[in-house]
Amino acid sequence: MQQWIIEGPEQLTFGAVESLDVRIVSGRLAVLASEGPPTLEVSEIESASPLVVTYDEDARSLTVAYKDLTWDGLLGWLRRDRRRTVLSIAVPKTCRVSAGVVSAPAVVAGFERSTHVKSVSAEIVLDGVSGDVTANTVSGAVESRAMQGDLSFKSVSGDLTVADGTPHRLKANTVSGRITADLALRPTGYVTFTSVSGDILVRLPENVDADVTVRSTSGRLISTFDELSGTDTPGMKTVAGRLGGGMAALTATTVSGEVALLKGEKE
Amino acid sequence: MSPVFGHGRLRLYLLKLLEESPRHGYEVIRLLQDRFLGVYSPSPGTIYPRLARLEEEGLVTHEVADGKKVFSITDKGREELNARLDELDDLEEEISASVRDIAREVKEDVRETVKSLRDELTRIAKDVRTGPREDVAGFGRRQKEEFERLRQQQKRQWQEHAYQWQGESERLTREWRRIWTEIWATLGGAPPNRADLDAELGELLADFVAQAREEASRSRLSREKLDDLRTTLDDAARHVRDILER
Repeated sequence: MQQWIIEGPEQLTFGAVESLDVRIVSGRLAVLASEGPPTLEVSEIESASPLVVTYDEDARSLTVAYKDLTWDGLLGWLRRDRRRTVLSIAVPKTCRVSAGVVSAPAVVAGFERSTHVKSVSAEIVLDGVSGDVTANTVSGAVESRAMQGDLSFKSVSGDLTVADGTPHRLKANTVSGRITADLALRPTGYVTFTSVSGDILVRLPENVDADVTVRSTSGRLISTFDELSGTDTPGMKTVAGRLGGGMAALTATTVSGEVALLKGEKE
Repeated sequence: MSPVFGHGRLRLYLLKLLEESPRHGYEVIRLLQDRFLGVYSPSPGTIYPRLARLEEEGLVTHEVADGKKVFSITDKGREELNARLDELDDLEEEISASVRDIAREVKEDVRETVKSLRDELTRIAKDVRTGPREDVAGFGRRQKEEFERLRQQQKRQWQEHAYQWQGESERLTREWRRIWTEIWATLGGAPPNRADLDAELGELLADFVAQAREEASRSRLSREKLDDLRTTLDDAARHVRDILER
């Protein structure tokens, strides 16, 4: 077990790393998948309490956090003193990543095993991430490109955008956040979007094979797929049907948000 | 992606790699990739001519081992390297900054993609929305006609699909299996028991559907048969649910 107390700009290199746990408050965080040796670079730090880096060779785990910050008290971080850190980390793509930020925008790219990100108000960018992915935010937006595998997203007011996604299981739940998704679906794809007042915009390829159900209590429903038919009963509007041969499933439900289901190009 | 190497920097870095130890050309390429997180991938077409040029200038030399060229630095090469030590320090610094730079570029790139996607979809949805809304009178009636038309269309499409399946069920069976296996193979680690089991379940379902379709294409489907099938499938679905809830 090795430990470093970081009080100024610094660069560290480690042996094998299979799990990474990093928590910072403000500043910037980048975690990239890399084929080279695991590295950590602190390029700016401005904080009353020092950042602690712990590397456990036996467990192959790397932890970066302020001494007094724990996962449980994520919101409590807000009340503490100003802590600004600009941190870049490179670890292998098979590493399990847990990242927590309060207001520090985070970029996480290239991981394929499990990636968990929590943020209060910061924006999270996920690029080429696959495997088991969760992203929870209060008001921070999550922007994802080329995701595969499972993604679970929860937010209060943060938006979710999924560009060029091929999800296996995609579950997004938000109160007032807006969900925008451009998806290709494989036969076992299973997508659920739920919002209270946030709008939901989904684009699927013209030749998608999926069963689709879109519901809203008072929001408007739009679909450019002619195959879908709508029913309008007091208290619930529904547009549903089978696209192509069906099998993948997509459900979008809102209370007062608008749902638009758009037909894209052939895949 | 901005060029990782400024003018003359690649040459310097090649010398540095060869000073560390004699290396194969492909090893040099791999090391460069590693240093740059796989983001900078020099092609053999870039590296080999550079090495040849360095050799012409007498800075490196090669010998053939096991049919492969192994390059090593010469004294003259070392001289050049020593003369440019300051530059080398700068280069190292640039390289160590690259994680941050790459992250920034990734971020800008994703944000751009995401923003243009959002704008595009928002615009399409808006166009769709404003289209048929212009004329509200008789909307309900037209909507009914529209649904009827859609139903007919759907029916027609289903028939077309049925024809297609007859011809393609064989191909589909293979294709679906392939897609599944491929996807789940690339999914990698996820939660260990989960992804594998999901994949297997996916394959089972795919095989089942493909087989059912193939058999259906060979037999004559009737309304009665379809009702029987629905009952059977509902039963099966119940069993599946029971098992999963166990």
